[in-house]
Amino acid sequence: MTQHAPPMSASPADAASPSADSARTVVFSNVSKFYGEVLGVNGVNLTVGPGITSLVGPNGSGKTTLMNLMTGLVRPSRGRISVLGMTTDEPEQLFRQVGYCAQFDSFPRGVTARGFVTGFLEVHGFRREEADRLAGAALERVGMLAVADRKVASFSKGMRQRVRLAQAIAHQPTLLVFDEPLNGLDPMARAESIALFRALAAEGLFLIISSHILHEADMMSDRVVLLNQGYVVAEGSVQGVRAAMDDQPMQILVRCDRPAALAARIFAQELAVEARLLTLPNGDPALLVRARDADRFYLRLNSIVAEGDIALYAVAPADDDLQAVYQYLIGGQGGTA
Amino acid sequence: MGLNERRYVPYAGPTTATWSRFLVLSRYALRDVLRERLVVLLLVVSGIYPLGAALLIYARYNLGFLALLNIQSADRFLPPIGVSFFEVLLVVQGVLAFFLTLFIAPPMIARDLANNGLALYLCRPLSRFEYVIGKMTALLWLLTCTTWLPGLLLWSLQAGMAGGGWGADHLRILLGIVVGSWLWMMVLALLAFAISAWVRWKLAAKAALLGVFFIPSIFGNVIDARFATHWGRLLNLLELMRVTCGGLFGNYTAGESVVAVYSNGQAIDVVVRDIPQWSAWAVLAVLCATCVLMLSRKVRAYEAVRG
Amino acid sequence: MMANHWPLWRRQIAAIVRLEVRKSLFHRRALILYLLALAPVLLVALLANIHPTLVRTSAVLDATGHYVRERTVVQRHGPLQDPAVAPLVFADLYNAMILRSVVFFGCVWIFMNLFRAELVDRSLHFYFLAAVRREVLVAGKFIAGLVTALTLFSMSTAGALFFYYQARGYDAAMRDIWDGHGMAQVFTYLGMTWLGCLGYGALFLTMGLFFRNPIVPALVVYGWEWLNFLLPPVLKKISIIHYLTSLSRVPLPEGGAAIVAVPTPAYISIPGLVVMTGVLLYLASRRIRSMEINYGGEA
Repeated sequence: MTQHAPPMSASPADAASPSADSARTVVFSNVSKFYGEVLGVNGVNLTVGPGITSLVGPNGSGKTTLMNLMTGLVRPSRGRISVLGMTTDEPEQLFRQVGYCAQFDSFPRGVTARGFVTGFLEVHGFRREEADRLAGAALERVGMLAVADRKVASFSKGMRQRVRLAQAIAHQPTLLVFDEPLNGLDPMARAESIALFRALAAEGLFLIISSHILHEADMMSDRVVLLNQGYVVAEGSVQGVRAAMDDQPMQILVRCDRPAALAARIFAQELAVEARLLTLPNGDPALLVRARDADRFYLRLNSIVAEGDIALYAVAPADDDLQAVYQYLIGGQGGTA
Repeated sequence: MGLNERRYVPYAGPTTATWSRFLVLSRYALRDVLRERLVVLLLVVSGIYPLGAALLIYARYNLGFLALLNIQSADRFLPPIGVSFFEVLLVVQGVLAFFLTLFIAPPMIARDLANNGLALYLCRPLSRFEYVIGKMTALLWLLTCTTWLPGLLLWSLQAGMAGGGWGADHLRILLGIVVGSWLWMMVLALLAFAISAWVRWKLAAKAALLGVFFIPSIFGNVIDARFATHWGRLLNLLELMRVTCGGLFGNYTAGESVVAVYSNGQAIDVVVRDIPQWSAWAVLAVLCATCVLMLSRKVRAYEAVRG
Repeated sequence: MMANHWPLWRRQIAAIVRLEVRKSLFHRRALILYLLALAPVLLVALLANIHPTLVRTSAVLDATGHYVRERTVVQRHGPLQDPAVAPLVFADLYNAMILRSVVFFGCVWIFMNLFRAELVDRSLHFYFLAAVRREVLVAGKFIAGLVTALTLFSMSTAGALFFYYQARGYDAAMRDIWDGHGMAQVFTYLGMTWLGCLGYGALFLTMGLFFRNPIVPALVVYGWEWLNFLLPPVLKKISIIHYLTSLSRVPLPEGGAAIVAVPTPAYISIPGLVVMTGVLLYLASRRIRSMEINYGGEA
C-alpha cells in the first residue's frame, strides 16, 4: 500500500476533536473503509462544519465512499462517524436532517418526477397533502415543476439530475450531501445549480458537495477537502491550504522583455527552484518561476527590476486556484480541470 | 491562417477476420463464465454420469475386470449397451445441460442489456446476429462438453471395444447423439437468451427460465392425467426432447398405451395414443422461431434509462 | 414511547405499499404473473366444460372367468361432473397447479424481487435515504408483496373454484356451498393459498436478502417441497407444503411411493406458519439493518 503523508489541515482547530460542536458538524474519527482488499478511504479524521464544503479528488479518490459513509449507505470498516450528533445506524433519525443526492442515475420503474419526490416524502412519513406541497416546492426550486408530471425515464440526464436534487432537498433537511451534482448539466443549469447551492447555504443549511471539476468547486465552496487514493491530503479554504503548504514551491508567472536574463538573476540569488521560459499565446515571452518563498521572491524581484535592464510587464501567481493546489498535492494524477 | 498538420494516422494493421470476429465475444464470455465456481462445479458434475457409463462399457468387455468384480456373465449383471443406454445418457446430460444453461446464459445477455452495454458492442463492426452468435457460441461450447462430446466418446469407446462392425451397425445412435444434442442445445440457448433479453434481470431471467421448464410440464401432466391423453407432453420440454431424440435414435413409435382413469366412481382402463413425432418437432420449431423473434426485437442498441 | 411511533410507521408502511404495489401489480412485467395466475383457471375451466371422449377397453370373460376378447367402449369423460371423484380431482389440481406451481413460483418472482430488483435497478438507496426504520421498510415491502400475491393467487384459486362448481351445475353447486361443506371447502382452499403466500413470501424475501444468487436455494427448496412425499415423517415437518396440505379437507393424493405422515392439526399448522413467517421477517430485518448499498455485479 502506498504510504501517504498525514493530511494537512489549514486550520488545525477544525480537525476532529472532542471539543467540536458535534451537533453542528459531521465528524469522521479515524474512519477507514475497505471493499474486500480494495481501499475506499483510510484513516480519515475530518470535521465538516456549516457552509459549503467540497470534496475534491480524482476518480477513485474516495469522495463517494466518504459520502456513502456519512449517509449510512456503507458502513465503516474502522472508526466512527457522527453526523449532526447522530450515528449513521439510525436512518429514521438521520434522514430527518440529512438529504443525499447520490450519483446513481437510476429511478424506480415507471415514476413521474412528482410521483417520485412525493412517494419518497410519504415514505419519510409526511402526509399526502404535505408531501404534495413539499414536492411541488422542491421541483420548482430546481426548475422542474413544468415537467413534473412526465415520466422520469423520458428525461435527459441533466433533468434526471435535477429531479434527484429535488428529492434530496424536498424534506427540508439541515445537511445536504450532493455527489457530483453538476454532472450532466449544461452550462446554464450548472450556473443555476451553483446559485441554488449558494442560496441554500445562505439559508443556513450546510452542504457537502463532491466534484472532480476543480474550478467549480473553487467557485462555490467555502472549504475544500482534497482526497487522493482514499486519503484526505488537505482540508481548509483554498488559500488556507495553499498557505499551509509552505514547503511546496509556488508558481509565479512573470512577463518581461528578457526572461532568460531574469532567470539567470533569480538563480544567482537562489530565489527559485525552477524557472521555465515560455511564449504566451499572444507571442510574448514570459518566465514561469517556482519559488519556495513567494514573499522573499516578490521582495527581491523589485530590486532586480530596479536595476533597470529588464522591463517587467506583469507578475501574477499562477497557481492560487484549486487546480494548482490539487496538482501539488496529488502529483499530476488529477482529473479534469 | 494557422496550418493544421494532420498527424493522426488511423490503425492500419491486421484485424480479426470478419467471419470469426464473433469468436472474440465467445472468448470473453467463456472466460467470465468459467470464473464462476458454480459453473465449474456443474461441469464437473456433468462428467460423472459419462464417466460411470465409460466404466460400464469398459467393464463389459474386460474379462479380467469382470472376474475381479466376481461377475460371471456381463449380460446378466450389466445393462446392455444399445439405443436405450445412449438415450438415457442423453436425457441425463440434457437435464444437466439445462441447469448449466440456467446459470450461464442469463448473465451473458441480461447484463449487457440492463447496463446499456449493447451499444458498445454494436458500435464496432459487429452485427446483432454476430453478437448473439458470439455469446451463444460460448454457451454451446460448454453444453457440447456436457452433451454430445461425452456421448460421442462413449459411442467410440463402445464401437472400439465391441468391434465386429458395431459402429457401422449403430450409426443411427451416433446420429441420435449428435443431432439430438444439438437440437436440445439450440432450444436451451435460444430460450435462455430470449427470456434474458426480455426480462433483462439476471435473477428474474433465471426464475423465468426455471418457471418455463417446470410449470408447463406440471400443467402438461395434469392435462394428461385428467383428460386421459398424452398431448400434455407437448408442454413438457424434457418430454419433447425425449420424443424427438427417440425418433432420431429410431426408438420411438407413437403407440397406444392404457391408462387408468376414474370415471363415474370407478377406475377404468383407457387406451391413450402417444403423441406423433411431428407434433414434438413442430412445437420445438415454433418455440425456436418465437425465441428468434423475441431476440430480434430486443437485441438492439438503444439506451434504457432506469426509471 | 413505542406506541407513539405507530401512526408514523403505519403511514410509512402504507406509502411503501403504494409504491411497491404499483410496480409489482401494474407494471408491464406483472404480465407474467397474470398469465401464471390465469393458467390454472383456464385449465379447470377446460376440464369443467370440455368432456373428452375416451376409448375404454375392457376384457370380456366367459362364464368360467376365462378371457374371451377385448371390448372397446367409447365414453364421455367428465371428472369434475362426477360428485364422487370431483373433490379429489380438484384437490389434486389445486395441489399440483396452484399450490406447488403458481403460488410457489409466483412467490419466488414477487418476493425475491422485492429487494433484488431494486438492487438491479439501482434504486434501493432511495429507500435507505428516507427517514424510515429499515425494519419498517421490510414490513412495508413484505406487505406489498403479500398484497400482490394474495390479490393474484386468491383470484386464481377463486377462479378455479368457480369453474369447479360450475361443472356441477348451478343447483348442485349452490346446495353444496350453502347446505354442504362447500363454503368450508372454499375458505380452506383460499386459506391455504393465503398461508402459502405468507410462508413462501417470507422465505423468498429473506432468501433475496441473504443470497446473491437466490435461485440456487430456491431450486433446493423447490426440490425439497416437491419430494416431500418421499420424506420420512420427521423431515416432512421441515417444509411449508406439509403444513399447507395438512389443512386440506380432502386428503391430497401423494402417489404410490409416498410415505404417509399424519397431517399436522390446523391449530398447530396455522400458528406454526405465522410464527415461521415472523421469524423469517425478523432475520430479514436483522440483515437489512446492516445492509450496505453495493450495486456492483448486479443486473
